[in-house]
Amino acid sequence: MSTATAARRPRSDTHKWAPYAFISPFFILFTLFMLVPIGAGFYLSLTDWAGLGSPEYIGFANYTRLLQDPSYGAALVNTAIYTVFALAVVLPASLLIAQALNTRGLKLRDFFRLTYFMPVVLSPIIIALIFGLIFDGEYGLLNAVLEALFGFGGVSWLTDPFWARTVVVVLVLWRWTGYLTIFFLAGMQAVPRELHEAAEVDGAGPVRRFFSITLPQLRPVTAFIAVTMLVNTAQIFEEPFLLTQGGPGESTLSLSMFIYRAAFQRQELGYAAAAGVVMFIIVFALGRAGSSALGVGRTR
Amino acid sequence: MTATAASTDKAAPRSTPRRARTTVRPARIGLYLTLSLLVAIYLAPLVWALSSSLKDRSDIFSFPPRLWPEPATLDNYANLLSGHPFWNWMLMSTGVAGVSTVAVVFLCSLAGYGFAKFEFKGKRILFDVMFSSLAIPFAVIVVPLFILVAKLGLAHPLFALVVPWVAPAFGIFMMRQYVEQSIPDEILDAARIDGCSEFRIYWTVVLPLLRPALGALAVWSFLGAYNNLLWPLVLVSEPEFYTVPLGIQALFGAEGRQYDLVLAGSVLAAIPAIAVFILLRKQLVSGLTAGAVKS
Amino acid sequence: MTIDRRQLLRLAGAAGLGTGLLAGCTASEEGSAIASGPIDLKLWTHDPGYATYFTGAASDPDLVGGSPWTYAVDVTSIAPADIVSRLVNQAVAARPLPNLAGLVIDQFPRVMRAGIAQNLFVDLTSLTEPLGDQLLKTQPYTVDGKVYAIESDNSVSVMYYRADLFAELGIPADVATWEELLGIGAEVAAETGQAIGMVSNGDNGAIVNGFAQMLLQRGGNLYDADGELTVLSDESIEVLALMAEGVRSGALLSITDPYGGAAAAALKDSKLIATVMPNWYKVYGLEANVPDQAGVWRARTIPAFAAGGHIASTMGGTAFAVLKGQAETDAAVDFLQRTYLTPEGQLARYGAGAYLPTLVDLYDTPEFQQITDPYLGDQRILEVYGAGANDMPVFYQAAGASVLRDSLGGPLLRAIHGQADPEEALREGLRAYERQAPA
Repeated sequence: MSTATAARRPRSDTHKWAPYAFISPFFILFTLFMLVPIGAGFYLSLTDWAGLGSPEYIGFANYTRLLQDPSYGAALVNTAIYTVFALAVVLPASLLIAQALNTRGLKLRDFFRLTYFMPVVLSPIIIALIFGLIFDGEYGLLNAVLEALFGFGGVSWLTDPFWARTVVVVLVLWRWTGYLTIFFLAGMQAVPRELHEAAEVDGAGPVRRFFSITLPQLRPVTAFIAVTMLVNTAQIFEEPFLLTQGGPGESTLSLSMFIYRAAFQRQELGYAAAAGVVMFIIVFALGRAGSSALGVGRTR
Repeated sequence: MTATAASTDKAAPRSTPRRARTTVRPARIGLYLTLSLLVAIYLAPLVWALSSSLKDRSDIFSFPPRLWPEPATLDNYANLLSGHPFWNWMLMSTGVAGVSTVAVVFLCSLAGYGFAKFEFKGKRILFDVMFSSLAIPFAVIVVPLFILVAKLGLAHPLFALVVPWVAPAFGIFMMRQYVEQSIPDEILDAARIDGCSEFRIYWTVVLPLLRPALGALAVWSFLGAYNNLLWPLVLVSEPEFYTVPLGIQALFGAEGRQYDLVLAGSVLAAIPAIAVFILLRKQLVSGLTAGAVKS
Repeated sequence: MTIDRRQLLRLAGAAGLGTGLLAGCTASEEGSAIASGPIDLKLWTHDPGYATYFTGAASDPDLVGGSPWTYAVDVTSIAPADIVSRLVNQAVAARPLPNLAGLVIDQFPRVMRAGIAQNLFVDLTSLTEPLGDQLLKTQPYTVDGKVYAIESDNSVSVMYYRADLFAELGIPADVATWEELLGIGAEVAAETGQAIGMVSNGDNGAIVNGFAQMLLQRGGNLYDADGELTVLSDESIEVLALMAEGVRSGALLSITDPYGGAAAAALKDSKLIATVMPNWYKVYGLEANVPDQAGVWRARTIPAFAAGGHIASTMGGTAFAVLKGQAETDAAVDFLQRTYLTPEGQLARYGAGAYLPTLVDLYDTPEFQQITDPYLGDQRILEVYGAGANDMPVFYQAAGASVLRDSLGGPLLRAIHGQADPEEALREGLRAYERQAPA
């Protein structure tokens, strides 16, 4: 493409090292604050350490402990629920909203789009506080409204394991749907109109056009969003941390919370690091697999 | 991409008359109803928070709930601002977010330009490495990273809240996409023939052309830094370096999980975020999506 | 060892000679300890009451008059869980630490493992030992036989009740047993929807603390004196069954957070008309949330369990520890001793935040006996707390307590809500605990 034509021209010496200089800040920071910590995390995961005194080498004991730890199991399952939900519900929901917003001649499109987008600019801590206010089991707004409408308002939103997970998931839905919508919408607007018109001439209805034209054209966007959401939801922290503290019991505990709790609330840095290493392997593998399967981030 | 989005927006109304005749009216009404219902779902929690922040502590959970606070009071705001160094938190948050945003915009556009417009040995693999780092959750590195900065004596909040985060891969990716789409090689070559140094070309030719995307990157980066909780929670222990989310979190804990002050704080904290968002909404939305759509 | 040097320093300071020399000697090991004169103590606590008390005490000649140091206290307010996290994090990062830190009782187990307490805090055993059995509540803060923090508040659990509503509903104020009270409570709940007690269904800490409070009263314990787990007992099964029955009948109200908005609303609506809570709940739960109900509340000792136990219990508390190895360390130990372990200090402490004495003899002294509480209808309140303090169960904890809390929380909640058999729930929690407790 364009870069290829540029490369054919004669170059000065500076042109050779300039790109390296330009990208070097990233790689320096990446090495220092990402690669080194990952390596150090692996080393830490083989030790027992509270942060004070010196780490004691204990081999893979942290990993065998992780395998048996029901909390870790709970955290894995909960995080998987959040992630699967984000991919299976939030993604299609935002696709639908985008499709609705893409309706030709829609008035107030920008208003709708921006309103839906707004939650993502707010701090998760604010959102969690507001939802705490609404979902309080005794005196929350939602129960009061349900009571007024249906005469039944006794749902223990935050203290029943099922409902607590549901609330976290609703929070994810509320926070991310509008954000993803703008990606889909931009993707849809980039679909050449001629494709639709040609299909229309061929007698394809709106539903068929959606599946045969819009969806395939949205593949790159979808892939990008799917991977972003995977990584984002896999590390969900603030929502359960502030809303339920991982409770009731451990039914909303997430992997990030598990790591934070082990390291900074229980002072077991080695154990936390081991949990981090396992999380790294899982998420990174899924993320990379997803990326290469869907071809995210490539231009050619 | 701004251009793309804008042109399609303009393109849409053009075909309206033809579509309007064929569309069934009730469907259109249903569509507006659904979209408006969604608006209500999105705005209701925010309105409720605003309204609750104007209530007495003991009225926040009163039954039946009242949308309009009765009596409305600014006491929560007054108590927050007089009893807690809220403006310090705000200064810290906006300061950290501002400084890192400037650095992010500079470093990401530089690297994005490097990846977009140069051919060099190892480019493919370096790009892949950079892009893969997007798939590393922060929780994975939070523990060793904390130990690292602590043991290297770099745990001063003003350093550690900013420096590790000034070259995010997402920003570089976004910039690369934008540079590829919007900077013609001819301009760069012309500048080279004029004898400009490579950095000078970036500074005087590329950067000005990137302005819309820089705005998006800046908003994205600012909001990210402004809203971050986990890293400050781990790193910042001294209250003089509290950021707004950290201050609110501390307040919620210290006040026995009472909502009155934290709601006032939340409303105040949301104002800059929403203001920045509203001011730069167009750039943000189109800039964010530029990379993803065209990849 | 610490006390010797401290006394030496104090002696030297009082005599006004040799201080420079001594300070020079200690400099090598603790960064030039300040031996006398004006000193700024940095203090972390979650509770504004302690802030008031310590700032006032610093300039109270009755308390610190004889000290070689003149004190000023600089308080930072931090949430309970964050205090421990940050002490450790700051120590790891070699960043500034406070001189004194208030450790909430259920956070203390976090420093009981891996030598954290030993690494961070001064061993205060030499201050507490001379007081012997007179000083209460040292057990929860003891690691390997040494005391690392000094309790601020005896935290005697009693029953607070609305005297006006009890009279109106015909509930006698001297019900003898829990069983009886819950029977009455069930009738009241069926009739008016009001509850005579609450259980928490919020975070694991609140759930387990509430359960432990009843368990202690019944004569059980989470751990024994040697730090061995004693959760699974006939007492705990009985207590859990009783709580479940209370919730089922409506006598006990489930509330997410006994201190937060939901509790405030329940109190305000007169939906919660009695509750068993420690003395500090009067300040942070009742007075803070329903100041307008002043005068209608009363306190009494808790109705006993028919099968035995105590008429009081305990829950919560905050102990102060001194950070070791700082220039201000000796001064901080002296300050804590003067303000916390003397009768004058304990009386002033009651005045600042209604914190109950930890020196057991003080309850019977006229200074305390004559205290009346206007919020409790001018009741001579120390008579109730004193009776409680004399029959208070001893609370033990161990390093695994925070894991235990998270393991038990879920199963306990299910048992309390009648969704699980009490014994089965306890066993399930224990299984989870055993599989993840740190070695």
